[in-house]
Amino acid sequence: MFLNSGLFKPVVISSLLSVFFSLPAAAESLAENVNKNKLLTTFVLKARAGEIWRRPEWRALLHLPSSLWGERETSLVDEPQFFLSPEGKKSAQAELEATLAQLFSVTENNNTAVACRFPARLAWLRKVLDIDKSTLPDYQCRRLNNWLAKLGADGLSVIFPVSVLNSPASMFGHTFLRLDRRADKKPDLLAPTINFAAYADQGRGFGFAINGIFGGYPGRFTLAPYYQRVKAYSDIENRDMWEYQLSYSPAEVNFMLLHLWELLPAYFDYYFIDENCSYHLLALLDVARPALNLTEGFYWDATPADTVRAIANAPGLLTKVTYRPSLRETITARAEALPLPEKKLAKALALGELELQVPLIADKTLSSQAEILELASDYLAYLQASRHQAQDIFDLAPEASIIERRREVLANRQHRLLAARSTLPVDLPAPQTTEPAFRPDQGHRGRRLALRYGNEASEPYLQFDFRWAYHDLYDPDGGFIAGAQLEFLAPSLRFYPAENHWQFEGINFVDIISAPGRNYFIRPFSWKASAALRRYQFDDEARVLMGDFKMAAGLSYQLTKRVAASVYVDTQLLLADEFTDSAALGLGTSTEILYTLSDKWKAGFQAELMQYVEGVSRTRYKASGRLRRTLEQDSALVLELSENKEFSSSFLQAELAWQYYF
Amino acid sequence: MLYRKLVLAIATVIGAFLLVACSVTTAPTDASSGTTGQTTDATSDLTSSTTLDDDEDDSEEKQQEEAVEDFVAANFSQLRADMSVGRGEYLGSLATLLAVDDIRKEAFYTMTKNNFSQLFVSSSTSAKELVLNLKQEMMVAKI
Repeated sequence: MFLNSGLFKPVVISSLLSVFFSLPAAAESLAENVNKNKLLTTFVLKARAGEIWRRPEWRALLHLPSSLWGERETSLVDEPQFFLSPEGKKSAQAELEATLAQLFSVTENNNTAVACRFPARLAWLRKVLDIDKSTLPDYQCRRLNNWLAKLGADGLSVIFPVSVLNSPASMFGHTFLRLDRRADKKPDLLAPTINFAAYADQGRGFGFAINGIFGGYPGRFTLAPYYQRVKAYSDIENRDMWEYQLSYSPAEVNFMLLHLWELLPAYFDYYFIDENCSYHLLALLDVARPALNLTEGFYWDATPADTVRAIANAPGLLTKVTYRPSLRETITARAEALPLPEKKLAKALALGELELQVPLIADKTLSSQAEILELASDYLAYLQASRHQAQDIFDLAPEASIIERRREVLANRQHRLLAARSTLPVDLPAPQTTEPAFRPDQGHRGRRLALRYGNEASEPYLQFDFRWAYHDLYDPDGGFIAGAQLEFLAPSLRFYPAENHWQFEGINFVDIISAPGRNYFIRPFSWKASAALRRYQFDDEARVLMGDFKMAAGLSYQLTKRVAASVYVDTQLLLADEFTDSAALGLGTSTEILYTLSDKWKAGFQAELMQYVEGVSRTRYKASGRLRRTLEQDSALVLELSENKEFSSSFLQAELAWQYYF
Repeated sequence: MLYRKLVLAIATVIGAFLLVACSVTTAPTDASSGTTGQTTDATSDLTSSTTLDDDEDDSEEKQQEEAVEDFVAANFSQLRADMSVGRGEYLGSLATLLAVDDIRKEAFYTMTKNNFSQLFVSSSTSAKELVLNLKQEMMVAKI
């Protein structure tokens, strides 16, 4: 028996083997398929038993958003190729089972295999369903592996370029991801970045915005080296940047990249409000660490500041924040360190008012010569960039030859400045820019509720105000750009207790002030624009609701560290049936002085004079003083006194308001 | 009530324009085309990898060479400013791209400052010429 069985075994095995190998190829694959089908059934049943498609990891991989009314079951991805099941966009279960089915049926082993197109799904399914490498061998995804090796990332940072002065379209800022290489200590500039943006041929103007809002352009993830973005934001648009280094482990980063690989060919309908850059970056961060669930709470509007706030609030996520000043800040810092004659010299050299001659600056010390030349060269670079930008915005196209000649002159001047600097045997410390005391995530929240008690021409009232976004000049400046205001969708409702009467007071659709302070080198213009429905005292009886559009241009100066002043020339268009042709046009002037008394106190004085020249012939004025006191992080008291004359006799107004940010 | 409609229409357009939030400036390639001093080629090898091209046939050396050229072309004016003082973030990144040893980096930085006029012969020196000049000077200085 023993002998027999001992002999029998090898015989059986060898005969079985020979049978197996002698089977025709078709039968072999048939047997393999039967085997695979069996495996597939096992895993599908296992998945169903655990209802694993309900797990946050799978939902994150399919980009199923959570919403105010519970979980939505429709993926945000709009690319059909992203789904393996025809029902995939709507059914997480169908998509999961289709993924399993394809993993176990498709035998090709190359770059187009499902496992190579959806490596993150595979990795997750392997882990959750215990699919080991003997049941489903590893694929040779050469292209994917090359891509991962090229990125070589082991860390993550979120980058936040703050808004552009003078460009409120970008006032919300922007966010993108940087893939860091910490182990190799590679320089940041060379790191790749992941950006989510609308993929449009023409990136500016009203058509772009309209299309963007209604999802007319597809949104995509794209990669570019960090130096390209620094150049665009910091050097050309003069936006300071904040780098939020996150605590993701190399394994988490790798998993996120596997998922990014799945997303690169996919597109999302791009809605600016709810599906913008910020939302999709958070979704990507959720993929790498689903427990964070950063996208939760962003139901339909996410601003970049909200993104960094969510990151800063997630426990243990933030490791370090770095500030990268823009060229404009560097110039201001350099200039502040220099006495006036040196500043004058540097500016004249940059503008070409003064030819660079050695005896001219040779009477200065070596380091002071170096400082002058470095400042002049930075300033010239700034001028070149802003001139280019101006041409971009206004689409000015003077003759190409003129531009070319101008560019050549500037290039020559820059070359001479730098060549002269290189001959000076002196080493200066890097310019000392001061990092703002508050980071963007530490600013107040954009939405605001206010309750005010007021008295207008000795008639008391209660007023309820709401503001959807974002910041006004009297809000705390920390985390925001000084001298910039963007208010958006702010309706007001009034209640007159004496008459027990409610009245719609008006709505501010948009109210922008861009008042960057001018200094010796940086000399931007200020402007204001607003569109609103609001009530004006038309005669002594009636306060009429009017369409109110204002535009103003002016100049602003930072008089001291705490005092800023602006003067404007204003125009106003009022629309109401009471005017001839239902419209009145006014010209006027206004001025505003803002005094930041301390962290908690702000005061301001404002005067406005408007002469109507069409539609009605009246003079309107308003002089007001305002005092604001921060109570806590998210609430404040505001007292405002004003003397007004609108279209009837003048009146006095006093208001005390309590404001709450949320 | 015509004016009410007008108010709404204008307000909507303004609102739409503002809502571009993070998008109007999200295309740095758009903004950086033909900028400070040097026209840039925005398509780097990283961007092109988003199109899932097969480019693994390129040797590592060639890829590195391309990376240097892309970097110099995109950051020409920043590099020039850094070289004129012999330090800076861009110059440091270039040294890494050129695989300069850590102990030779200081020498490399000083060399760019001292030989500035050889590296940038005139204001029309191109990125390609700069890379060539740089390699030559590095050979001479044995970096």
